[in-house]
Amino acid sequence: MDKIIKIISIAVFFITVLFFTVLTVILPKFEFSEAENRTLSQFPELSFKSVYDESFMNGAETYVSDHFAFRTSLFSVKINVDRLFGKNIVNGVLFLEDRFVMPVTDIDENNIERNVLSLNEFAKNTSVPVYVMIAPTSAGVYASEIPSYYANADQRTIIENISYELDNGIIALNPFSILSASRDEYIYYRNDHHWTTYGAFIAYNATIKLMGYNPVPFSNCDIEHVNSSFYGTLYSKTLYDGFRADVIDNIHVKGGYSEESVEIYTGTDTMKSESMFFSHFLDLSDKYSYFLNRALYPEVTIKTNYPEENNLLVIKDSYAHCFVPFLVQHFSKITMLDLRSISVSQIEDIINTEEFDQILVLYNFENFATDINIRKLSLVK
Amino acid sequence: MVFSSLTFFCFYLPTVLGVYYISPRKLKNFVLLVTGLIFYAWGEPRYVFVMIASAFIDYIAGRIIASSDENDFRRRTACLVISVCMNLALLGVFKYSSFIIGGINEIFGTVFIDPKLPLPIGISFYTFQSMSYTIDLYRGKIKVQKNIVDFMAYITMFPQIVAGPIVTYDKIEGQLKDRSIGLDRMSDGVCRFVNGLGKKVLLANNVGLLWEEVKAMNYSELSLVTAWLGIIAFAFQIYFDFSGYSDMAIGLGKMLGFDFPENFNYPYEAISITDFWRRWHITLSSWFRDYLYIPLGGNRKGTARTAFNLLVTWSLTGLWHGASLNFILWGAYFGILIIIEKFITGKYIALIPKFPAKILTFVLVLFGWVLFETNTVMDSVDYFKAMLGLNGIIADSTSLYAVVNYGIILVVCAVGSTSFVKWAGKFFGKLKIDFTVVAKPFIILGIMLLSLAYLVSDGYNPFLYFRF
Repeated sequence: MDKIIKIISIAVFFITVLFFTVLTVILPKFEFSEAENRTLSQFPELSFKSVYDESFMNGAETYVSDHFAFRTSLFSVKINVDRLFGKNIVNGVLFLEDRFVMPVTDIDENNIERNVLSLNEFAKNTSVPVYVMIAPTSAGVYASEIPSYYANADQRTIIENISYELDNGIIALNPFSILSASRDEYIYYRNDHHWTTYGAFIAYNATIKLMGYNPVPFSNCDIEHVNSSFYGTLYSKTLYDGFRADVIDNIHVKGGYSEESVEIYTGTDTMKSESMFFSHFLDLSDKYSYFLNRALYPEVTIKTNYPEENNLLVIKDSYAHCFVPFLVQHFSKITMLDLRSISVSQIEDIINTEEFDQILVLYNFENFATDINIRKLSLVK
Repeated sequence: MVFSSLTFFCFYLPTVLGVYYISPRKLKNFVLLVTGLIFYAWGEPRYVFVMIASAFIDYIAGRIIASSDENDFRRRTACLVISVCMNLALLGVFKYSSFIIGGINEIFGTVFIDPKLPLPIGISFYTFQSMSYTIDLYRGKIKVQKNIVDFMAYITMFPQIVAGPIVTYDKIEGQLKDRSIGLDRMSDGVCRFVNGLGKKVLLANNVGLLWEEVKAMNYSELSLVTAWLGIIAFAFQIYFDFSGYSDMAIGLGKMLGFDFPENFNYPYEAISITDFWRRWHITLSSWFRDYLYIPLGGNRKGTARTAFNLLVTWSLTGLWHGASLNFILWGAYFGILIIIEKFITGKYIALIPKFPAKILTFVLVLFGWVLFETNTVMDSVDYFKAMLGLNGIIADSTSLYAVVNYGIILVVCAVGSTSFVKWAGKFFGKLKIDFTVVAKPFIILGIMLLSLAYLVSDGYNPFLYFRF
């Protein structure tokens, strides 16, 4: 008996090791991980230099880890064990009762200050009215559900303070209160860090008057469920699928204006489309890009059938992508710029503020607090 | 390379074992030598030559010592001195030069340039192993190793090269020439390795996350409970990390046919500090005892000299752990405690019940870990203040966070660091069906899969904003 168990133990050990060795070698390799949303590493080149500077060894270890057999399954095993052990935070993502949130920690006040100064400088250098909306993330709206022992920035206060520090020439559109009041509605995705289309609609509805327009009432809208199996970025960070899949809605204005053409400048060439909505993303993990494609492209131009010439410039991050479609009701042309993909040398050529009637700066709180590209705006003359 | 990596586990290990097992007996040490060099060079491609050179010099020194006339005291001594000085010089240059130069500059106001040499992996371990060979040879305790492959294999074999145990040559002399594996040793080896893997990957790494967070906090604002939980977490982290690594080394040794000496024996169950050091990093404290404390005269030269010897030995033991004042203080702290036990309290230890003695010892060890782990002496003082409640906060939200997120793992570590599991094993072993035996393969499989899950997750780093 004893002997048999010993043989079995040894066999279990070696079979397990070899099982993973063999499968890691023979299973097909992917360049891109859909679940993690990132490019996986390549096997390093073997040379005297790469061995000498250890890049070969480090590269080989990363490669083995990136292409390890059953990698994502093993990762979910880990998450579930962590959860059993009472751990509630994984890769910075916190498990609440019915959703993930990503608390914003380590606020760099100097960076916020610098971004505010850049906006003030930007507004001073143009005669076009500038509007700034900083949208809270779900960690801000659901802050009261986050146990106090987790670090989490007080988004309400910080957003308010930013509004005070913006020059008089800038009008702050602050959606915090209305979003907070609607916290029981489906305004943030459970498994993704974005707001939902409805969340964006509420923010639009509550603030657009400050830009001089009458908002379209919700009763005038049709809701289309375009997808109901969305597991977004917060899922990707944790690979925990215990929360219900998210539903992606598209909100159409009945009998409203609509887009005529959408041009996306990718940095090298221009993609044209007739719609603001890109259904093929609904088949990928990156489903949020259904709205106005991926946020990494430097420039998107939307032309609409709005009857009078009215031009809007939107300086934004991805939160704008499900917000801007509502603005089609008020503008004939909307130009969206993503400063993260525009270099300092290009910025003066790309942005000519005088072409526009209004300028909207729209960021989510976390990006506004951490982004180091907003400062490029101070270069725009 | 480290044992707790996917590359080692799934590629290096099966390949090396495969080659080793099919090699004829005469070539096995050569395989050990070559694979050991690859293992070492994987993490240290440049300084592998330092190790080869030092081992080679010790080999030559050994040959000369052995070939010298017994009465040629000067030649034998010269070789020993060269060998010991070379090893100590390697340590001095690579490990302590920054510390020494910094200290001299600080004290004398000089501006010697710090070469900032990186610390070659395992140098503290292989120099000590190498020295044990020439010293014991000089003492006539062992026979010379004429076969250079066998000698180099002793220094470079992969299980112990990076982090011990420090296997002195006399322990392994016979096995280098003649060893067998067999079913018992093989299955022991597998169990030890998997056990060590679990200790390192599942316990040490996870409980270490708590200490990582506490360590980064501002100690003057730390609450009493957080401070204690933090340093307890570190105590478990270093124990499971180090003893796990030793277990893996011992297990791998067994898979290769070697019996390495034990390195840990439930140190947190020690009833005194003297006892603690008989149970913690045993091969290191034995090394210092055999090659420093006893040659200094040990306890044979009167009270004052014994106390001095103890203090020197323990300060240097501390310094061995790293080039910083904290480590010397940490060593001296234990030196003083051991002196007190030896001359004052030792007689009474037998009188107090075991449980309070264990708790007291553990607390003293915890204070030691503060000295060991904080970056500067001022930090240590601040941390002590927090542990004594001098910051005026008993518990705060951070303590609650620590308890919620790490409470269970702390309890698991506490149980795992005692002989409770062993005791429970004995209990179950007496039942009709011996569950400890039947469950073994399942436990092995479970620990392996979980460890793989945690190792894979180490590299799990999704990049959120890249495509959004």
